[in-house]
Amino acid sequence: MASAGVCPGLYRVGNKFYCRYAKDAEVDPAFMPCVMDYWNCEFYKRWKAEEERKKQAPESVAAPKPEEAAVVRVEAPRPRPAVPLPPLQPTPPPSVDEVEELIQRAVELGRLWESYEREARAVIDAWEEARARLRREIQSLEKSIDAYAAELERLELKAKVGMMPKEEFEEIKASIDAELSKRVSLRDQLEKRLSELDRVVLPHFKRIKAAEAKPEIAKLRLALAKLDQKLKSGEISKEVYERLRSELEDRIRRLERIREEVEE
Amino acid sequence: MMSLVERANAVKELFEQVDRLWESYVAEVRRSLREWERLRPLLAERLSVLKSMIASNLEEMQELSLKLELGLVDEAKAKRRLEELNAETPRLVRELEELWVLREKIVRDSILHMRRAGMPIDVSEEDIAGKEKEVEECFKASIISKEAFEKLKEILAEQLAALKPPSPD
Repeated sequence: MASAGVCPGLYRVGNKFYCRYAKDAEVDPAFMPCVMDYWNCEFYKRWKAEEERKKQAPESVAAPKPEEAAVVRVEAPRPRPAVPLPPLQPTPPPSVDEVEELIQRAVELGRLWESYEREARAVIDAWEEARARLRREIQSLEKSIDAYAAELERLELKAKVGMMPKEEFEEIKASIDAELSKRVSLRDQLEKRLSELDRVVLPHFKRIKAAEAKPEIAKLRLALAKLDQKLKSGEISKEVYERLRSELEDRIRRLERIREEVEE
Repeated sequence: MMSLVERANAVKELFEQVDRLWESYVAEVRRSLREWERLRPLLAERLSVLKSMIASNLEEMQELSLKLELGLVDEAKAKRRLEELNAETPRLVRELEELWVLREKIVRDSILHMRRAGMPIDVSEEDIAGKEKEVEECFKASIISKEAFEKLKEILAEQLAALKPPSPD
């Protein structure tokens, strides 16, 4: 479906776009020059240069003819005569069909963007829930690890002062060590999974939130002011206030960063 | 009619039986304490996790209600989550209370039998004071109910009493 305005390397599978010049990586045409400006894209330029090189390669690497190989001729570069450029032809106006096609493509893009936005919002919602669940799980594991470590310390002391036979201590220690290592490994796995999840979802989060960063920041600032009022009127405790305030400030900072990135 | 020697032998036999029973009692105390030591880390771990989960659920419930009021969360989503938390938290509280009361009862019994068997006791008055403080903090934070708080305080008082040397009479 390549045409003059769309990069020939762009293709679609389902609702996703991919670029064959970027090793088939997923791309977002709304944020990349795939449409109407693809000749400025680095991936396209690299591919074009490679194509040119391939075209020239057979001529430059062709084996020399025997008579040429025997006699090495050295020629001084001769100045080329200036070739007069043909006069510039006025670009014909786009035909009705071309304009119609362009309109159709723009409409299609809008539809795709809406569909992307809907899907991305669903993913972001699920991501926020999964993130909270993973965090709770990690917190539980931390508590579990701390409790086992404290028990181990207590038993070591007991064995040291002779209140527990050495063999009994070793046996219990081995079972605690096994449990501890299971939990440490599970916690590490969950932390890794959480960071992988953030890595893949954050680009979508940024893209979606970029459009609504400003009103969202205003909404959060208003909530902060209301929170201050609630503390002053004694409706909420200092502890709850501090926790929520820090969360809101963190969200504002994150959105401000996204806004700055977009504005840059 | 039994002779005096026979009667004396019977009494001697009774004391030997008492010795055997005592040895058997001490062996049982040791066995019970060994089992207790194996179970103790698992109980400590579960109790710690339950306390943390309940505290975290209560915090989340409080924050969700507040966020809902401030218009920061979607109402339907917040209500769904609140329903989940409302169903999960009492179940966790019940498990915590049951396990916690059981643990303190075992500690009380272990002190009692260690003392009777003349074994060194691994629980101090400071340990019990620390537990009293924790029980109070958990009650204030609504992690445990009033009934469980009172029951635990009662058992901790029994632990303290068991630590004290028995009166001469």
